[in-house]
Amino acid sequence: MTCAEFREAVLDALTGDAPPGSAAEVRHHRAGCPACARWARETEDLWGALGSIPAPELGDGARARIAGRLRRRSASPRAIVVAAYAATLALAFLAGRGTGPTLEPVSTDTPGLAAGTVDETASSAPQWILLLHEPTGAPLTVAGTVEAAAAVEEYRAWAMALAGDGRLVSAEKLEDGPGAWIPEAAARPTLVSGFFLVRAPDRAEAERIAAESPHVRRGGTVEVRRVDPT
Amino acid sequence: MTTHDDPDTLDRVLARAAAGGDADAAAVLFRRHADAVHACCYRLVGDRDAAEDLTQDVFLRVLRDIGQFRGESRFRTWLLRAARNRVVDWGREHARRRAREERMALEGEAEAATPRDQAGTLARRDLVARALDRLRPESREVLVLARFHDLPHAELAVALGCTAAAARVRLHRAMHELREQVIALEGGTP
Repeated sequence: MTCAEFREAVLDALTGDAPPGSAAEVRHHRAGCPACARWARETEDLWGALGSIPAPELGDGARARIAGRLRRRSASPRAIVVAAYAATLALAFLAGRGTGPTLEPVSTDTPGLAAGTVDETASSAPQWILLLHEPTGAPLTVAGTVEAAAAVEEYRAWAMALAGDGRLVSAEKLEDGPGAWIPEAAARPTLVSGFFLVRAPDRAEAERIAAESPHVRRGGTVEVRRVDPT
Repeated sequence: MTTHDDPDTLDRVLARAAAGGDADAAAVLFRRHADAVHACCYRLVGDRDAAEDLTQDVFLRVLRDIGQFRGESRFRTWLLRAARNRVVDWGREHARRRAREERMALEGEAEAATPRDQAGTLARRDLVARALDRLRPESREVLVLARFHDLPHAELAVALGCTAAAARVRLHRAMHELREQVIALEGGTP
């Protein structure tokens, strides 16, 4: 490896683009070339110092102003035209399949809702599963009705809020109808119609999230269980 | 249990919904990426007020054109490309102003809250920040996108509208320029 190639490799490594297998050559050159070793140290220091330069946060006032402007813009005639798709989209979120006449296709293994990590605290918190039970043994609403559409809207808004805070890991709605029981059981437990996988620092917070869910408001029961970290 | 901790997947789902007119999805996208866009704009223009205005412009344009997002790159990369393009337009209309004052004020706040033993680190950071200010816009933008937004060559290419090979060359050249500027500042060259 020449000195020029070494320096290119050091720069590639800083951006995470180093080709696999080049590390040994880089180490070897660095050990045998004091000038390049010094150049690499200075460049790595420069890269580190560059990354520590601060930027101001977007202020709360500006954030609210921009969010309001975006919301007003979103409530455009175009949004009204496509409002007919809203329930389908919401169901797609909950069911994990983004379908709709005007939408680009997605792969069949696309998860339902997968949350980002908006803040570090949320991203490292334990995971809790919220199992949605239907106490009556049947879905709370009948698909295709106005009530079902309203319910979907309610779940969607709740899920969006969780996702926006980085608390939602994933969510799936299960297909309506009875499942198969293996082995056949005489006394069947309640119907589970879906789940939300969320992050919360402790059980109290997980239970608070469950208590605020539309499922509880609509008369359902939510079972809160921590995902075993092991 | 399999979990789906993939923010890019969520972005794609949200983008599809926003393209369909879902205002909540658009609001979540804004919440998820507002800080990144604002930080990118600030680092490119060096003006806090302008960065806020540019952030608003970027989101208004992106949400207007969101139907063009095909999911071929990460949504964040697509967004940063829009931010970079908007800053280029802005730069044609405005000289880079108040950058030093803004940065000095910001670093002054940080310095006041920092123990004395970190003074050397802060001085070094200030030096590098001044060197960054002195770079050509083309060099500054590639460094900002690579360093502060962790874009590898392939995504730099998307954000800059060039090939990955060209993005790599630009990044390497920018690092050499930054190094030269730092050396010049250390030597007292104006």
